[in-house]
Amino acid sequence: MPISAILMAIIAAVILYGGIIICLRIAIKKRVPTDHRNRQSR
Amino acid sequence: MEQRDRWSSRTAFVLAAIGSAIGLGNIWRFPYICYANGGGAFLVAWLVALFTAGIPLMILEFGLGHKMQGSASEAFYKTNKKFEWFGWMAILVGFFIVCYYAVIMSYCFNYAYFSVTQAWGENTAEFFNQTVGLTKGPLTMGGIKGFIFLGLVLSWIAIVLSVWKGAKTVGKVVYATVLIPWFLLVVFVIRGVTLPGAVDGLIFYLKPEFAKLLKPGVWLAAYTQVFFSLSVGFGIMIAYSSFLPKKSDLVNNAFIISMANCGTSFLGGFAIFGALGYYANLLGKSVADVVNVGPGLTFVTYPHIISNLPFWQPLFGVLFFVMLLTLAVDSAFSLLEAVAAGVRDKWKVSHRTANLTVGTIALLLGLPLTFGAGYLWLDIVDNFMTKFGISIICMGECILIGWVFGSGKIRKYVNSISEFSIGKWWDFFIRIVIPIVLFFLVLMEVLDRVRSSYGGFPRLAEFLGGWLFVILLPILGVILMLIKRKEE
Repeated sequence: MPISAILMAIIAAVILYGGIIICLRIAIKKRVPTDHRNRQSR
Repeated sequence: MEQRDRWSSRTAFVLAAIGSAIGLGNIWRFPYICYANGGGAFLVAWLVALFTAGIPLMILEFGLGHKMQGSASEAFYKTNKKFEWFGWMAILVGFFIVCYYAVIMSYCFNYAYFSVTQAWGENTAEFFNQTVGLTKGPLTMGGIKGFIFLGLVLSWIAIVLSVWKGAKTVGKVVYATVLIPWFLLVVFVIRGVTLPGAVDGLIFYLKPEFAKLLKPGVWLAAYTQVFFSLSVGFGIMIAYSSFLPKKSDLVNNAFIISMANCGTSFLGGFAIFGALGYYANLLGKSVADVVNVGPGLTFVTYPHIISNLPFWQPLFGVLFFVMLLTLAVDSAFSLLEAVAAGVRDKWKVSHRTANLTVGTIALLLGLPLTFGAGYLWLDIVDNFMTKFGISIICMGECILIGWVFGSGKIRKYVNSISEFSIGKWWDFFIRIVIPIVLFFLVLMEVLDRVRSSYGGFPRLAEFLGGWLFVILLPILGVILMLIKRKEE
């Protein structure tokens, strides 16, 4: 398999899956315990 | 006063939005588009498109829905009463799409059953034509195909039951309809890349041709892929975000959902091209000779691959079509929920009334597609709804919110409740970049259609299945706006 193909796959995977992991870490870090049940009426 | 639906948790919302975005296109369209537009080099254009168009649009829809606490029609009504028709137009695009999406689910139901015995035999193309009763042209309707009709009814039962109590039911169902296809996709990636000859397929999928990045067509393909795969432009994300509680992150969720959708597409390429490499090796052909896209890939090429797998063919066959069904069902019920939410918001009817009414009308509209020529009509409607419907809605959203309502208001609103903020770059993409790209997409498609009819179909069929629906969108939007709303 050409090295350029492997490199492109790794870069895409790092950006996509790495991005998800970073976003999830932020979500967990800044998590505020909230009651999601019907808190807001229209 | 009935309280607005609320998601049971943030996870439920994120999974529901991911499930809506991930659909058949991630498996049957993205890998082919990537291969045909420069392989690994396309990934560069695609990721740029994701961050400059896909995610900004997703943030726009989340911000609009959450700020206005309403479905697409209601949200636009609250920005300006004169814009309500535009919200209905977005909902109608989704409604027309779900009418034929359920028919494709019916094909999947049938093929899951056929997989047990690999009923398709050696000539899978001929078998597919017989299954759908394909006629010589769209103007020759042919007879109704009983099993396709049965599959359609089953599909609609599954769709309606999944949204029976709105966000409450959806929030539970998505744990199965998102996690099962992800698990099965991983199974098919492992199966695909471990087959003999798989590497040949993966080279076709990922080998970069950087020179192609200089071609505007590749960039347009990248933006098109991002616009059509994120479930923006149907009012789904507007309705889904309106079910979020007051203190909810919007920006981070938009990033997670968009990247999860694209990550699934990227992974899907390994499953598809690994199997195609094996298949090409088996036939002694090049991967370029066996590669396929859309229904041709899933109902013609892939069944042949399944029959030629080294072992457990029936199991892999059933699992493949179950994966497609679970991928499709959450996209379908999100489309129904976007319409039903619009109906509930305006006429204050119950979930049951809205779901059953919309579901029944959509089932009836999908009926002609179970006839012999149905597959051809489905193809025409699909092309016009995606190429024109979604593009026009996304462009209109950017112009109405970006220029008329004020993108700054939405940016300040999402920043006030999100885990991280977006800068003025977001306004630039919403007001300038996305409308320009979409304008070119629509213009090129119009020029293509002027030069020749879609798929070489007769102009009459193209008009009835394509242009007529595009013309009907604003007309029906205005009619729905004019019908008296029920006040609380």
